[in-house]
Amino acid sequence: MPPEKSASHLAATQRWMQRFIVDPASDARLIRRERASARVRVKPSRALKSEERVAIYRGMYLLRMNEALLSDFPALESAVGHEGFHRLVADYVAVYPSRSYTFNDLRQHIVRFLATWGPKRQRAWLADIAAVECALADAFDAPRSGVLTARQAAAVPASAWPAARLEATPSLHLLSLRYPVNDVLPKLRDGAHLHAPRPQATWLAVFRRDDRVWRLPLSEPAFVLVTDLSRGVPLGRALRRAAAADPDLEPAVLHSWFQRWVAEGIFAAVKRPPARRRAGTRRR
Amino acid sequence: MKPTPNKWRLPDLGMGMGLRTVHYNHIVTRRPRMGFFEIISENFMDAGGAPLSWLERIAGQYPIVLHGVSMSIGSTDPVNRPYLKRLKALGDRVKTPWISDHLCWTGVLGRNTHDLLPVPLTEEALRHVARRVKIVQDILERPLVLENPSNYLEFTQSQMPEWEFLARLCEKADCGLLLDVNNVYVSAFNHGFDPETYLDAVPVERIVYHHLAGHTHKGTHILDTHTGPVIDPVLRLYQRIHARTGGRPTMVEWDEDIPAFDVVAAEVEKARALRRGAPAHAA
Repeated sequence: MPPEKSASHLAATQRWMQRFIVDPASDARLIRRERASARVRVKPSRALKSEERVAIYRGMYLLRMNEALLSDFPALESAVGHEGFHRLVADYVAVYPSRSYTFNDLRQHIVRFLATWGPKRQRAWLADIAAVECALADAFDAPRSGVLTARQAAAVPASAWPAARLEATPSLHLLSLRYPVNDVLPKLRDGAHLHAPRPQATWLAVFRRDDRVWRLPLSEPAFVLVTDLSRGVPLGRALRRAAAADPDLEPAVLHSWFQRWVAEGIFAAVKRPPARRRAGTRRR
Repeated sequence: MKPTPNKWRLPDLGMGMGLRTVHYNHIVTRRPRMGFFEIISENFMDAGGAPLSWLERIAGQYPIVLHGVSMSIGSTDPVNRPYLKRLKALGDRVKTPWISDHLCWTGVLGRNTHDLLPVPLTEEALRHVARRVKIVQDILERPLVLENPSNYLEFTQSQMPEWEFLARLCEKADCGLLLDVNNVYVSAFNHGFDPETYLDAVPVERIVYHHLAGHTHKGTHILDTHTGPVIDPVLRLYQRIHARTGGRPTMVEWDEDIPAFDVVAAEVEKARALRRGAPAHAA
């Protein structure tokens, strides 16, 4: 992003100060390197040297990032420990600094980042915890939408269902996880330091209803089906794919899933394809 | 005392406080006496769930004013127009009479440090910020009110004191001033100037409202932490500016270790008493 040309001295000052604040070098090393330039640019106070005055902003930068990420990832902090979380935040914002006016966007790369951060044996566990907490935060902030009611669903003629597409609520997040994070999340969020459990594939829906965020564990076939539906696959085709993946899937089970999903408010609307015009009719 | 009106004759909303999540339920259920609530704009610009629902309920009962932390009016990055459009939409939604932010920059090269970083007080910076304020006001279609920040450093290149910079900026860009009395006190300690000189020099007709807050004294410097009660020396400064304005809307900020609503409201009451003419030490 090029600076505005009308303020070149100001731009140089701002670039210097930002570099001082966000540089991932140790404080001692940075101050050794920048002491002379700080004394050229910043007045000392009665009690502080020039470089100490800029360092106040530097100290607050990481505290602020830590506070913002901690509010979204309390379970992740429990899993890596207090000091570990500070290191994680410092490493993370060095690679993915905030580029948005809102802290809500700061969390968006953390799952990807955790795939390569820390000891290898912990990475999938930490990434799964972060994925769930990220979904919780995103669902909390998601835009509002309507909710498909049981009555609206019942009003759709049976013949229209195979071609109908269900529109998921914008707060819906579907997660395929390698660890049973949902089982231990409350303990982690209460501050318990738990070691990674044995890997076990689990599936989870996270969504908001009535301004509260909910977690709904899913079976694998239910996860596949609701994922297809949330991507706009017509219901008939989605059901055929689910049946092909699990031939034992009974219609009564499918029916109970749909009832539950509609009751939970996972779907915002049902979109029916436009009725075909008969040959020979004209649009008025 | 007859108030000297602000230039735009914006309403005197009385005494207010910062709207914080821990107080939502108290406000909605008890409906306490409060002239207005100030929100941090960025906390609601993308909110779709509970925060927005609470805001709508509270905005139905009290005037709301918007106070931002990410406009970055002093930055040399291009003006963030999508941000301003969202800000305007939120302002329209809650019918804010004005929108405020800080005389600061928050980042360059596309970054946001989410801090209120100081602007060198130079002729170049004055021209730069004034030009951007005009752009912002055109987009927001309401007065932009800029707050004097609390600063922890001064640049060697600065060519004028902050009060002169603000006075000239208000005139040049035709914007308003949110005079944070605690920030004057904090910066005065950190830089070693006389806070009364500052208050006597700011243009009264540009002052739209005031902030009051507590802070944290670190010995070598003061941090503007918005925690704890407003101290008496800050209240005395508030009285001094009140003597010039005759009264402006005033709100109390409390952002760290936020106590029960009534504790913050008691701070608001202190300021309310001062507006009525009580001495600062007895407030």
